[in-house]
Amino acid sequence: MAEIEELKKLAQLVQSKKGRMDAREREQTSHLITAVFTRETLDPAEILSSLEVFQSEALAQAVGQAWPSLSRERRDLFSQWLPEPKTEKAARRIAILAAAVVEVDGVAALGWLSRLIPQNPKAKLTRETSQIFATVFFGSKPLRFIRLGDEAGHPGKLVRVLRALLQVVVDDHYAIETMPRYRLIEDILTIISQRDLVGNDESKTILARIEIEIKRWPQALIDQLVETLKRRIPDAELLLDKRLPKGKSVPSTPGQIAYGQSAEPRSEAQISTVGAKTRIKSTLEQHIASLTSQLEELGSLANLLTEEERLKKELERGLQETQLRESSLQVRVKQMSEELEDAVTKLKAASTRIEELERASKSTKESMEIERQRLTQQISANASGRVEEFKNNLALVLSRLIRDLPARDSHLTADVGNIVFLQFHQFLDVMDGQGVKIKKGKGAV
Amino acid sequence: MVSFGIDFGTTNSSAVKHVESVEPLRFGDDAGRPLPSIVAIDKGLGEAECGRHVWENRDEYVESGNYHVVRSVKWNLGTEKVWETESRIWTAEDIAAEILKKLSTRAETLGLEPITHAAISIPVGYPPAARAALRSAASKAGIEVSAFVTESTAALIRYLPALRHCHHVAVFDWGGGTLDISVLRMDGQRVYEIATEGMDIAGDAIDNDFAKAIHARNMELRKQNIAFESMPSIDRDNLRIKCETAKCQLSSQESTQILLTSYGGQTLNERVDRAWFESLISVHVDLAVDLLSRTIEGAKLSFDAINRIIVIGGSSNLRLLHSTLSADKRFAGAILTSEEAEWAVAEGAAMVEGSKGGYETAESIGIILSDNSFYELVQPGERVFANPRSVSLSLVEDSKQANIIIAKRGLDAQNGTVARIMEFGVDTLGFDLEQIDLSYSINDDLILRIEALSRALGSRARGIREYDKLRFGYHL
Repeated sequence: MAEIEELKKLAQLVQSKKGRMDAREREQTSHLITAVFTRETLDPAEILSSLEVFQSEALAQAVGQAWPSLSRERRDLFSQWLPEPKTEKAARRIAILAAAVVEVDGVAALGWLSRLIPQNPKAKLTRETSQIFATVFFGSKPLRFIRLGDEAGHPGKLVRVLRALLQVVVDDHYAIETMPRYRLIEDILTIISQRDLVGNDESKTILARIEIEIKRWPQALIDQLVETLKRRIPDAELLLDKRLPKGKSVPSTPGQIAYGQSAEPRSEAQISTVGAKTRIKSTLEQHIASLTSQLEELGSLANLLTEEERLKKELERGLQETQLRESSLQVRVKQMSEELEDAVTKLKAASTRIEELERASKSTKESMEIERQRLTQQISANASGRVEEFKNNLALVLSRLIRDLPARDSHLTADVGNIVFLQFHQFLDVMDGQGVKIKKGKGAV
Repeated sequence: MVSFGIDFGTTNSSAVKHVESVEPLRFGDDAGRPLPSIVAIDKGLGEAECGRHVWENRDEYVESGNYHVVRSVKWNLGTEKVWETESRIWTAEDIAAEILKKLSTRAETLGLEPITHAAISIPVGYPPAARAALRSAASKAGIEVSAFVTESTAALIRYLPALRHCHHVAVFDWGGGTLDISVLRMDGQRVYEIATEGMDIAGDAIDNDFAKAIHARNMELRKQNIAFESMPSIDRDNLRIKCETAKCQLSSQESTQILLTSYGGQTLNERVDRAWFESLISVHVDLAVDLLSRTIEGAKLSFDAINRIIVIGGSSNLRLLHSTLSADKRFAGAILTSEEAEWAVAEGAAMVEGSKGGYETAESIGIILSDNSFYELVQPGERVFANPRSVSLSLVEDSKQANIIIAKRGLDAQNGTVARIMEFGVDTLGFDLEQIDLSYSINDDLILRIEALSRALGSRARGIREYDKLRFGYHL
């Protein structure tokens, strides 16, 4: 129970982070899902509603680990939960999960993958689904698809899935490397042979595509394909003969004879009976008819491919031009937006500055007027005050000299007269010292 | 910006109005000199009179018996002393307010606005109660005290442009009543007072000694033996005034005459040569210079370390002082004098009011905890904060009293020298971990106030202490 609770909490956390998960959280999620599905005491139904929140990689890791040991019921429970591919995310999730089980449970993988492929055989795989397939199935991890051919799988679904996978792998747009291509084609040929689907109409198209693809391979790889298929399937030669490039040696085990050479020994000279001749003729006619039909089919396929290629290039060119124009326009719009923003900012700053300057100017004028009045008052007060203080100071100095001056009506002795006389001279000296020039008589030195 | 500074001096007071880029305006008496700080209170009418007239006739005022003559109210501020008249009782605050009003009125007389705010200079170590009383007196005179600044710092700020790149400056402030010498350290934008000395031998003492010497000469001439103090008060006042005038004249003249038509009933005619006068006052000057050297030594500085000696105050114009300092190799190169030396402190105070500067603590203040560790309350370099801060303490034993120990740690106390500055007890309920709330502030008067109480007992057991001897630096 603790695992279920913990998983639910984790789901809430991931949901709060809008689906973002770090490596540790992915690991933890995978561990918990594996535990819930594999422990008999726990009911996986309780966590199904939370699974949609988690990243597909975490889910795939858990499914990949748990699937081999799961009971039929639990596998079905999971398959029933798996949401329909209504969104790209859901489609990607199905692809990733299919990739996780494709090597252990081909039937399940086939069932899930078939949900991604249109029912109509003529309908094409969408660009998005193709991209998902290219990334998930033919990326860094090498996968084998042989289990898709398990007996329980529906042949119609099987062929559609194989055709879709092949369509992706051979499309140069996805630039899938040669070895993944090789592995898929090896598995497809094996499956078609083992499930006896060679005569199926859709299988024919698949084989035609394979033939075109194989022609682009190096001879060594072709040789390896032949060797491998010979080991896997008994009638490999019959399947391969028509599809391998001629003039190249096809290595074979000692004692085996290539299919192309087997017709010549059975020439007319060696056939004695008419019935036998008729059968041979009939077989050859059938063979010629089949070849003609295949040739026509290939011709139309080649035309189709050429036309598709031309349209694709045209569309790509158009798209590229549009992207360039869009990018150029975006740059221009961005520049203009920045210029506009800059101009608005400058305008605002200028308006603010003007207001500030106006306020400062007004304030300065007022301050200047106040200051002018203050200074005028101060200068005037200072000037008149200084004059008054000078007079008062002079009066103070003089009054100090004559503070003992006898009263006007007092009788003066010679001594007192002498002192008064000297004080009078001191008086004159002080006046002189204070800058008040008084003209004295000749004897007054 | 307009700012005012007031030098509330022992003998003279002055005010200065400072406006940037304009010649400062000075307010003293009506002759443009500093206002004598003397106040005479009519015992009958209860009216006060202050200024030069009272100063020049002080003995006459005293001996008339009709007046209380308060020669320097500055040092009575913050005390309980009162002066009773028939109509009212005068406190020291009332008398100080009269002097400050007179300065403010002088501004109005000159057609300017009265003084409504000012920075006031005070001596170093001026008691907290006196500062509070001075603030109150200013308020009575309609003046809001924006800041107190020490007289030496104010003088330094006045001459700051000439003191760039100086590290140590001495301020030699020789006024009428006292000689105050401070050594200040300039540390970047901060000014610290590192040593202060003072003596009360100043201009008034010189005038008095000069008058007594002339009296003695005259008595010798008359072949009489009457003590100066026994002469009529009017004659003593007259002779003192004549001597003060002669003292000023001898700064620029070789000789002068002291003349009185009546001194003890006879005329007085004494010629005074500068040499004789200077021999008379050389004792005073030597004492002053000696105090200067002792102050510098007290600051633990060499004489070379003093970059400038600012010589200010009314008595700093004495010619003998200048020649003595200039002849002394220890001081000769550092002397900075000014003709306007009497106004320097008030001008500096005005500049303080107009600046963004202020006092900052020069030491760390903290509390000693029970484990003898020092818990810092105020960091060095903090500005005054009148809004109290608080801290919660707990009793560590079941005691009925919490002992609060406040200490300070100097700036240079990297070794952690902590000195206790006050200690007091606060009553508690007496349980272990009982909470004691301690709040503290440093007000604009630079007084540290600590208040502690037990939360359990509440405000009825509140303990309050003040400390006024913190060291501050002035941030320019």
